[in-house]
Amino acid sequence: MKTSVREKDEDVIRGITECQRDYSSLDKDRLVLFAVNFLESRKMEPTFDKVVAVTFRLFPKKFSLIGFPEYPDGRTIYYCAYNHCTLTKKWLFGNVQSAFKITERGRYFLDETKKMLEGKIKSTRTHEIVPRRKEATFITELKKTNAFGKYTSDRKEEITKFEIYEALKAQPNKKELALAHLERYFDYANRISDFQAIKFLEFVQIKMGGDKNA
Amino acid sequence: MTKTPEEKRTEPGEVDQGYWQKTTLEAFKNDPLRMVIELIKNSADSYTRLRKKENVTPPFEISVKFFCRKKKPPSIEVLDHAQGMDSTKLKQALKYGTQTSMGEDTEAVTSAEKGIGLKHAMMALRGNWLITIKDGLINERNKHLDFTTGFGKEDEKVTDEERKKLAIPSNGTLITGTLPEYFHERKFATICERLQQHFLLRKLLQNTDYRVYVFDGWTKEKRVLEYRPPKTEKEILKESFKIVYNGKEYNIDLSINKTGEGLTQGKPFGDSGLLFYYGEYSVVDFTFCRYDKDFSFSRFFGEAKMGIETLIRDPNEAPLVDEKRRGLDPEHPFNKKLFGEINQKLRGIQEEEEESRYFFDEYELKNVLRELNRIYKEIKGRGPPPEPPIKPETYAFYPVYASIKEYELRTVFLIINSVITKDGFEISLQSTNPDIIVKQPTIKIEENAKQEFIIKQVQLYSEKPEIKGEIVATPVFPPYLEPEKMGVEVLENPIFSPTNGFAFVPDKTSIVDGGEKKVDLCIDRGLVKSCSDIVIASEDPVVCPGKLTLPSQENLEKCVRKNIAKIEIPMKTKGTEHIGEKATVKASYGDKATSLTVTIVPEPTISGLFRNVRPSAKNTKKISDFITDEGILEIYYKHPLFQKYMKKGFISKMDFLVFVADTLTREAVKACVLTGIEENSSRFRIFDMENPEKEIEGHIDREYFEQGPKMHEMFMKLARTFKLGEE
Repeated sequence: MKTSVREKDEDVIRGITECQRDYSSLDKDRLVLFAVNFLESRKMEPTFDKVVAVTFRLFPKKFSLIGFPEYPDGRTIYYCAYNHCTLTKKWLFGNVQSAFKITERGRYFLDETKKMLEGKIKSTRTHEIVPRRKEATFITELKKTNAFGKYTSDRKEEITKFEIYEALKAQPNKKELALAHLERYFDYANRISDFQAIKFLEFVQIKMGGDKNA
Repeated sequence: MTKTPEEKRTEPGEVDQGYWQKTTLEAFKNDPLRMVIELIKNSADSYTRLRKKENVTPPFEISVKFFCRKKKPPSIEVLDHAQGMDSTKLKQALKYGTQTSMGEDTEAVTSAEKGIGLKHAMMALRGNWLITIKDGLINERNKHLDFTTGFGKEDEKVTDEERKKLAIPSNGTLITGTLPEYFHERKFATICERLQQHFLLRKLLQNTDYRVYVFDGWTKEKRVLEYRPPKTEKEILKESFKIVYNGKEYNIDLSINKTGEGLTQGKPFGDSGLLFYYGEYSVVDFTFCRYDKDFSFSRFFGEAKMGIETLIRDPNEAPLVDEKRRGLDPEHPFNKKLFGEINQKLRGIQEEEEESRYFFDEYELKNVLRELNRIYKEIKGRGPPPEPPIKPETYAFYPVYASIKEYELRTVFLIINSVITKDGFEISLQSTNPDIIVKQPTIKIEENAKQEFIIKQVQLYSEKPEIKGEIVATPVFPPYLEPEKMGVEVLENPIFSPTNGFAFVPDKTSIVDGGEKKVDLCIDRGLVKSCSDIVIASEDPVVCPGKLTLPSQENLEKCVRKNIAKIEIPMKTKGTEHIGEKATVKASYGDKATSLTVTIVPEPTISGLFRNVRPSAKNTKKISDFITDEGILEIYYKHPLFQKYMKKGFISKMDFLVFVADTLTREAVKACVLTGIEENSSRFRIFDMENPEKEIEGHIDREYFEQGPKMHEMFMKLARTFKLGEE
């Protein structure tokens, strides 16, 4: 009997299709809260694995692995469910061993989240879709460099050799290393589809190729 | 170690030993690493010539092997696989007075020039030998201190075994010998480090075409020498100019950068200075000319690439580098012109960067900046209201759940879409728990809102901890709207439950470096005895009053709530530059004691139009200026009018204070108006955009009239804190 119940839960979860509402502007914590409620409201126990599966099935664009859109990003869901929603925000109660439950405080935010998904409330804050992994971390670092700042503010001609090498995390006399880093940055930017970074890297590539002494 | 060749015969030298002692010995004693560097550069030059002639591809490897000993100077072997030399070229190379690249390709830009070179470095090595293979012939030579040349093998056919022993498979040169006693370094690691940092090698080590490998002869440890220039924080200057000398133009590319922290100055290992070089790697000097070792340039570094290849090889021209190779000869007319030009540029930089000897008091300055920015904001106009965090279709609470502390007001917001307020809007706010009070139970909007969303504050208050409730917003008008609710919980306020009835609440705090603040010390009224003092002890760098007398019983009642008296304890930091430090403040009262951990944190950055007001040492015809990009209001105290007031005891003289305050007020008003116009403030409308000067003047006059007195008063206070900094 137990087996058939478990199978039923899994079958239900497997049958979930992506949320048709625009969820791109919602923060991931709210989406995990919504997923826990999705399970509770269907009389399914919100165990961690079910939460991971449901969150991914409902919101795949927000919870998939970089470069592998068909796999759920369990680490991010864990951080949202336990570290954020449970420990910090107290929207949930529980842990991975005991499963999760929505708190009284969490109900208010759940209602607000439902309204957001229905479009009754719009959030003006934007939230990152790409999880903070090496790719995103280093592209973010790249965007903090002087060279990138000058590039985006249309002061390309002011970018010095030092700044290019600094952006590529290479010493000024290490062209080979700089080129290797450039290739890696291209890879990262492509994986997270950061077109602004790609354009900047193309500019850097031209600058390095064109300038013999670069 | 390579076997020493046998000397078969000698040939007398051209100059006597006195010459060597007068020039080279002194130069090498002053900077013994130069001996090694000359040999490395000789190998690099050989590769450069080879590249020019045979189109070989880099990297060009130079191997330097050190056999270090604890109590004796190391032996050295420098090996390259470049051109090698035949006996004719060797003769020229080791002859006194060789001026060009050994009579061959003078267009190949090498570091060969007049002064100290290969033969001098060889002479400095005890038991020196130069073994070279060229086109299958081997030659061995040495150099005696009296310039005599010793001969080993002469144009003999080299065997495979010899090639193997020397590690020269094709052409190449090996120089061996023992460094002299005045070469004090004994450790391999130290020698490597020093070589990497030596100014003469910097350009070569930065050039990726050349690789200098250093080996420990005993352990076989191998290292690649690298030079990393300081991190550039700001590019100060990058320009090219020409020096006209003897009717010819010589191009100079000058670049000067600034880094974040102070650099070591001076030759040979300093980082702060200008590296003068020509060709790809031939460094001739490292100096800031007139400003060498001037502290105001300690964060600057740069390069001067000189297009002087023809000049340096001109046999009729006096050497640019002084006889003892200390650097560019300051007496040479070309160098005089070059230094003059660079000094002028450096002077400009110094004037820009020179740190002022005078300062305003930091505390007062921060107050003034805050007030100035507030005034600017006020006169410019508020601008568009901040965007609400959420945009509801109708209206909504933000946040949707709030935790409040007993006896503390908490503000939440009701965000209303102006679409629903067109015909008026009224809402009533009710708490489901009578112990949670909504300060303003009705929100009414009568006039037509200009903005898309209206943000109304809702203040919540409670004196009962650990209760929960809801605030329900019920629309009165328009009636079709659905009610909205938010959750509220009341938390216990920690000030009412001090540990042991006597405690700092909270027991951790932070204080701005150089700032002051007050912290709460909570005492249970039951513990308060008459005429008793609280004794406070603080650790450096935090300063507190040593003791605090409790107010009289009557006055104490005023600060008692829920049986707890809250006493404010003032504290400040002792001076500045304590960021990150921690201190403990201990308070005791009778037999009760409590402690507070204080962390010193940096001042949050001041935002707004004005970010600094400072006296500046710049030499300029202006008396004051506003640097828009940096938000700095400057007064130039070297201005003659300023100097007129800076007579003995001027800091406390009223005419000086009024003068400073007036100058700053005028500049600040002007800055406000010009920035306001740039930011399209409606207060500073310009009718005739083609000729706006008159209208700008009008705006300045008006603001000077309206804001002038307030600003003047503020700047008077600031001027009183004008002080001489520490020299």
